[in-house]
Amino acid sequence: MGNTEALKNMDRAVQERTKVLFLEHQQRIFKQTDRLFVGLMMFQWIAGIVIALVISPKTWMGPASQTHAHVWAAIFLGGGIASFPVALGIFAPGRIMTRNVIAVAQMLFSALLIHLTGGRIETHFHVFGSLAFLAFYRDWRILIPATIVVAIDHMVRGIFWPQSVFGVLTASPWRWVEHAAWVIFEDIFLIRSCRRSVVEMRHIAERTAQLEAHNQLVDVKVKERTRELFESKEELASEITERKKLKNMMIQSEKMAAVGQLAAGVAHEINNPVGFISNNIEMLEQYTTDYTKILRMVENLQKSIEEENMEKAKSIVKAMSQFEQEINLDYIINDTGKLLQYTQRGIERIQKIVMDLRTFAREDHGAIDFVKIEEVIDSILSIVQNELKYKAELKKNYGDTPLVKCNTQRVGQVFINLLVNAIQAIEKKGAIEVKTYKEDGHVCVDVRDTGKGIEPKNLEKIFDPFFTTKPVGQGTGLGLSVSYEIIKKHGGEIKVQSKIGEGTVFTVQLPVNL
Amino acid sequence: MKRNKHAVIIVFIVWALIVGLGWALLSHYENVPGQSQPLPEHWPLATKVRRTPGLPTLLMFVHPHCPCSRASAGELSLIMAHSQKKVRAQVLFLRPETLSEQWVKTDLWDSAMRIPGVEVVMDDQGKEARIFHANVSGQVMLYDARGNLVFSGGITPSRGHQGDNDGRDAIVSFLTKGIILHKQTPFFGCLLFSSLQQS
Ligand SMILES: Nc1ncnc2c1ncn2[C@@H]1O[C@H](COP(=O)(O)OP(=O)(O)O)[C@@H](O)[C@H]1O
Ligand SMILES: [Mg+2]
Repeated sequence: MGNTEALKNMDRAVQERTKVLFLEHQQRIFKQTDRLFVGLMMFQWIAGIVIALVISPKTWMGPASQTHAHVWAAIFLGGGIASFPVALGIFAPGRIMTRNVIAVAQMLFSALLIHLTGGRIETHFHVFGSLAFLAFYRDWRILIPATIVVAIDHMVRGIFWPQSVFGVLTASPWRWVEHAAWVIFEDIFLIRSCRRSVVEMRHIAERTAQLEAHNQLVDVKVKERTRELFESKEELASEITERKKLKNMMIQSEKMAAVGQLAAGVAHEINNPVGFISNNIEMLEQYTTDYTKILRMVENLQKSIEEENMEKAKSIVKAMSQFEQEINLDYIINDTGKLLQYTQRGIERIQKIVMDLRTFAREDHGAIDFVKIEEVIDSILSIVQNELKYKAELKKNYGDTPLVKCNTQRVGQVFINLLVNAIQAIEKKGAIEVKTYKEDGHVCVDVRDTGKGIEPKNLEKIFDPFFTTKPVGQGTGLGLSVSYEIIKKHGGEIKVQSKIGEGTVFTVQLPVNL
Repeated sequence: MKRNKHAVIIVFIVWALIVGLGWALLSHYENVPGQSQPLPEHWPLATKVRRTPGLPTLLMFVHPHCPCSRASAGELSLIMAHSQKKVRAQVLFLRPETLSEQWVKTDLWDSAMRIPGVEVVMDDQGKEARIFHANVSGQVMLYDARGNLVFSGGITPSRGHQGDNDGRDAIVSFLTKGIILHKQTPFFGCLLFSSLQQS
């Protein structure tokens, strides 16, 4: 309802605009043509004088001569005819009065010029030319006064000087009709052409008005769109920064998640040495009591010898050797060394795990290094080793690869993800193979497992953030998406091949010449 | 605005009047025929103009500098186109006694010479013009084979204007069919003698 109303309004606006444009155009043409005729009037005036001076400069009476009446007529009558229309053309261009006076004057000029050239047939063309010229106004109505002037010229002269126009009375009515007929003949064509140009002008005005309306519409639309675009651009920009923040958070949280997943394994890894270290310490405590007893006996023996109480000394030595036999001193001495050695190793192991964990959980953005990829993998394997060894047999198959330029921390995170995924994919017991090799400009790492595999429909989703098939608490769905981002940043690629029930291979490719 | 319009209309009327008046003056001047004096009805004896036995004779008196007579010469050439050899046509150019032959031989003289079948004659001191009582340049007289005046007057529709006219029709009709349409037509042009008429 509102729409049709608006359309109607627009239609009316276009119609009104059409009218205005048409009138403007018409007025422009009237003014232009008025100016044209101002020039033409002046030219005709001068031309008339020149013609009079050339054709009939003088009139004669025998040997005496005086200026011919034609010369005076050309100057004064010509000037008189031209004066008013020229003035109107200059001071009131575009008025109805102006073009009507011009039309009248133009036909008077025709008559004058015909006279000045002595009624030459050729000069009669001026009448027809003038009519055509007047049609420039595209206003057929001004042809009426023009035609009337031609008629009156003949009529008046017919009444007062019949012989001059029509010879003598006999031929008179026919001459008049013929002349008028030719003029009207031309008028008919000119009127038609005038009206047609007016119709065309209307069309042009209408089209222009429509175009204007359309352009206006387009303009408004463009402005609207521009504003929308601008707004959406800002939205997009803020979204992008939002996303960047989110991604950083994601990377961080995934790192934490990976560490979390590792925590159990790591706890075990640390627990194990801590367990046997405390065992060892218990044993060493026991041994230390024995050693203390023996040392006390040695002390008593030393005192008896100083007192030269040989009897007492002999019984102490006897008790000592009995005690030594009892506790198997040789074994204890041997075992003490071993226990200390194991404890030392256990502590070193704990130290290493803690150090590695620190490396990967660190908040900093990490430095870029030239590294051998196998070293990165090894340090990761040392973290996940414990988790791994209960589930799978690890096969390392390292090739001869060149150094790659990478962020060790980040790339390490990728391998933790892949290895943890591989371990989690294996249900009871399986094998995990890590293979490195060089392939056209890339260092490649295959992480292959004999796990349950990935369903084909999931293959294209696994790199999406938050896609996981694991129970809540175990999977975050971030591991692969973050890994993908990291490898992309390094200019590399990460690909997957999988078969249900057989296993999965992830291939990481890193460019060498980065 | 309104007053302005009135003023313009008044100016228009004044203009129309002035132009109309000028027009009337011009038309009046162009259409005042020369005054016809009684012409010799019979071939005058005193003349030295020659006739050809058995042929009508056409005479045209011309002032060599009269611009209006160019139209007459043009009309004459049309007549001759119709009736060569049916008439002996002669154009007499006035030579006042004080002036040389050079004064007579104008472009009008040349164009008369170019009309086929026309003799161009110099009328010294206007003697012949006086004999035939001609007083206006462009005046034509037609005598039949026996020397009777059958037509006299102008052969232009008005002063200095070419175009269909009774004079031409009359001459052509007599020469081709022997019918006299008009005995006389008005004639326009410069005066041959200053003494006869003031303009
Ligand atoms: N080696 C693999 N074997 C089988 N499925 C895997 C393997 N690696 C990843 N997937 C599948 O891809 C999903 C997404 O992995 P990931 O992005 O690391 O998230 P999450 O491990 O937290 O589930 C996993 O839930 C799992 O279904
Ligand atoms: Mg994972």
